[in-house]
Amino acid sequence: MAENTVFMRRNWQVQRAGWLLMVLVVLFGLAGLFGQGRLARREAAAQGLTLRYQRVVRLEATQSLEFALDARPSGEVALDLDSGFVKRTEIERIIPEPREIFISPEGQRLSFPSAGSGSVAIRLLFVPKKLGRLRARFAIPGGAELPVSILVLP
Amino acid sequence: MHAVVRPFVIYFALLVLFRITGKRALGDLTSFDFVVLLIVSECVSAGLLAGDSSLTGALLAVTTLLVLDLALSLIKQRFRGLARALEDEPVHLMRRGKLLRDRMQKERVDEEDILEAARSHHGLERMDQIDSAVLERHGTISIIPADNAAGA
Repeated sequence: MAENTVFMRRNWQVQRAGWLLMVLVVLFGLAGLFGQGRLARREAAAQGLTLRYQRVVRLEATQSLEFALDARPSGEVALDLDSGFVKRTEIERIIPEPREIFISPEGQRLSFPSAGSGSVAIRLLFVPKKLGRLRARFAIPGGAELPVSILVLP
Repeated sequence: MHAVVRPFVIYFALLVLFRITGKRALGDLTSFDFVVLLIVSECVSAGLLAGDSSLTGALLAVTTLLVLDLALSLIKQRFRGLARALEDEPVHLMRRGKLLRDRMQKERVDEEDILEAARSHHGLERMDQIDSAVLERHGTISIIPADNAAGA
């Protein structure tokens, strides 16, 4: 059997470099570089509105947005989702269910009954439907606005 | 659970389960063993990806499994004791023409399995043509022909 030792050695080198790369992929994956982890977690806040989300998400995999809104004495809180978000995602579930949803060319307005003071939590489960950069704007009507940018991986 | 943690848990759970099941689980696969393996993979895939049908999720799971396998092979190379614990050792089922029935029973191997290995690898047909039979770590049976087998 003829042996090509040069090729053999190069092959081993490439293999070992590949192993290192694989280990890095797993470690970064664990840390959340590809979503679901510390590196991807973000929190954005504006007057009366806080949002916890993942900066990197995956196509067709359910993700969640966690909002905290200041309760209003009027007995109702509302949250605006812009059309960019609505068009590029499929909203699976909103917890709690909104009392009313108003639709307009600018997006959707969700309204929820609220009582007392402090903040109320709203969880929105969605599935990204388009690859690339998902730019969205969430807002309290007539109040704070939170622009976020989420990277959707294949 | 995280996309890296899920494959990790499944890998070690399967490692333990198949190790307990023994060598025969993967060595000489019957058609039904093969069906069982397919069902196992089907059951595992749901837990492995947990609804994440993205390409990134799948690649991350595969990379994690391969890294675990690679790491374990390197560790086994360095620590022979661990290799023995994880992979078992070769077991003589027949030595100098004598069947070791106690071992055969423990390993769930019968004479027909030994004869089958003898036929397929050496073209031997009778027990007296076999000197030794060894159940290897990966579940296959190796045959060492007896001296008189050459002329058979």
